[in-house]
Amino acid sequence: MRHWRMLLLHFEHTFEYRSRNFVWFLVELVNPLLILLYWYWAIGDRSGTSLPISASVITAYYFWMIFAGAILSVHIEEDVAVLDIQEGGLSRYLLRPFPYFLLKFYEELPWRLIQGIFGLIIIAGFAVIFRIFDGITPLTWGRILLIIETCIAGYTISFLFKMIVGLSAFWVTDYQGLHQFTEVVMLAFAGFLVPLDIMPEGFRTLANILPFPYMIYYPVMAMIGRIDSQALPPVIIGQMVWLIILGVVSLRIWKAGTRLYAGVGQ
Amino acid sequence: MPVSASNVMTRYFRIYRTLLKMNFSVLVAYRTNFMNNIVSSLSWGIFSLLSVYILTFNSRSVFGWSRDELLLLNGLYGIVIGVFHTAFTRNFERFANIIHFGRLDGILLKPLDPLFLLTFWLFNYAGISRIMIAAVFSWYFATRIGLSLTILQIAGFTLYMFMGILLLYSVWCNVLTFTIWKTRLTNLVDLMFSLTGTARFPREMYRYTSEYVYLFLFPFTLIVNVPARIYLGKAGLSDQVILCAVSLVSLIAARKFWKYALRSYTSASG
Repeated sequence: MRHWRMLLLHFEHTFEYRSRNFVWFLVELVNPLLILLYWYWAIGDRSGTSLPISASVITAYYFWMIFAGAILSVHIEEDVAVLDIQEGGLSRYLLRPFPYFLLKFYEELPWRLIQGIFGLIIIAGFAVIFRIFDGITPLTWGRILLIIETCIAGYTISFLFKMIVGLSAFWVTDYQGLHQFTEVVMLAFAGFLVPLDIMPEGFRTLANILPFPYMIYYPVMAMIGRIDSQALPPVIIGQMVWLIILGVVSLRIWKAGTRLYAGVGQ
Repeated sequence: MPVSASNVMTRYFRIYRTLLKMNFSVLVAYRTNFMNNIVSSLSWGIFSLLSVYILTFNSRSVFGWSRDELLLLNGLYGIVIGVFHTAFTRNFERFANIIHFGRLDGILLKPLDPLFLLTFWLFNYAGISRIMIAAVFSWYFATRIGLSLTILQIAGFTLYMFMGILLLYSVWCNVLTFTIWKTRLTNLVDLMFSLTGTARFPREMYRYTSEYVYLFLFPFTLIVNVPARIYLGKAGLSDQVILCAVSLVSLIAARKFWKYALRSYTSASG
């Protein structure tokens, strides 16, 4: 019950900043729409663009990417690095009888859920115009379970990864270089730019050994029904492996970092 | 005694030179931060170029632009945006925060133009690395296309690049002035980063879409497209006139809107 109340309090806080929340959603919206527009005309142009997947799948992919980007792409690192570690706000978290990671999880979840709702509204609005469900196989219970599993695992991987980026501020006074670098790598390899299917072979191989596609790309592929029974085990195993690796690394970093923390900011 | 316009300009140039020196001192004092900023600038610069390389991987030509021309367009985008990020974006981030925390009073009290103080105060030397990468990339693709690099072409590109940056500056000013009323919307800066990314695609892409979308994105379609078209020999006289006219009108509108908005400034933080 206490946990539920804490979550509700954070929901209240998020609603207070609804216009700011909407602007964040627009930030996430511009890039997929822009790339969708590019493909829409590049394929329609018939001037030499050939893709291994159909135009309807591409359209569905980017619309669901808007939703996935809004709900699964965690942005907690700035708060952790700047407000908590650099400005010393971490002290008040350390005094509370709840784990820091859990409190941060509750802080971030309402932002993601509300932006996810904005994403669903956009998808519903454009579904009829762009027929984004045309290339998608019908929903079955198995696929619903797969979507839920990939989304929960993807969100947790994203959360743990961003916590690690934020916690790096224990050791560096300006974490922006690392932050911006990870943002760029994520945009390139999480599927925000193009589906991995149409990436050059080298990029695709590299992407698959990184955690980024498991955060966003595979949940989107599950949403549009592009993960078949053969592709399923590697995706689930990949997500579990990254969950374990990032979970262990983040906890070790947290323990080492709190030993350095002086409580007065930097 | 009346002050002539040239005296005012000289004074502001002198102040800007002092600001550049101050920013350089910061760079020397915080060398690790500078290296961090270089990593950040280079990451975005390389990503911007790489993204179009990946996007056009399966295309020979799109919207009447060959793949090499599209990559050149993105190289030139890197130069224009690199200059803009070096000179202005840090200032716009500060602009939004100053208004959000109610610190504009201190700037309004100084005997200088507040918009100048807000938008020219910081200079990000690390951004120069992005300009250099984009210049090398552009040079490579210009050579592949077989374009020669004459003094006249460089002068033409530089002039229209300046107009493009002026337009971009005005658009950012206009949008961020809204924070006077909506002080919490400091993330409008992030939205502007995303919207500025629309400038790296050919204008034809938006023209086919919808009149409303095209009208909304029209200023962004001029910023890099016109200088690039001039360089590629694809621009007509109308393109050049429109870019100059829109840039100047936007700049005047930005100043008037800022002065109008200041009447609503409450000194209270958001």
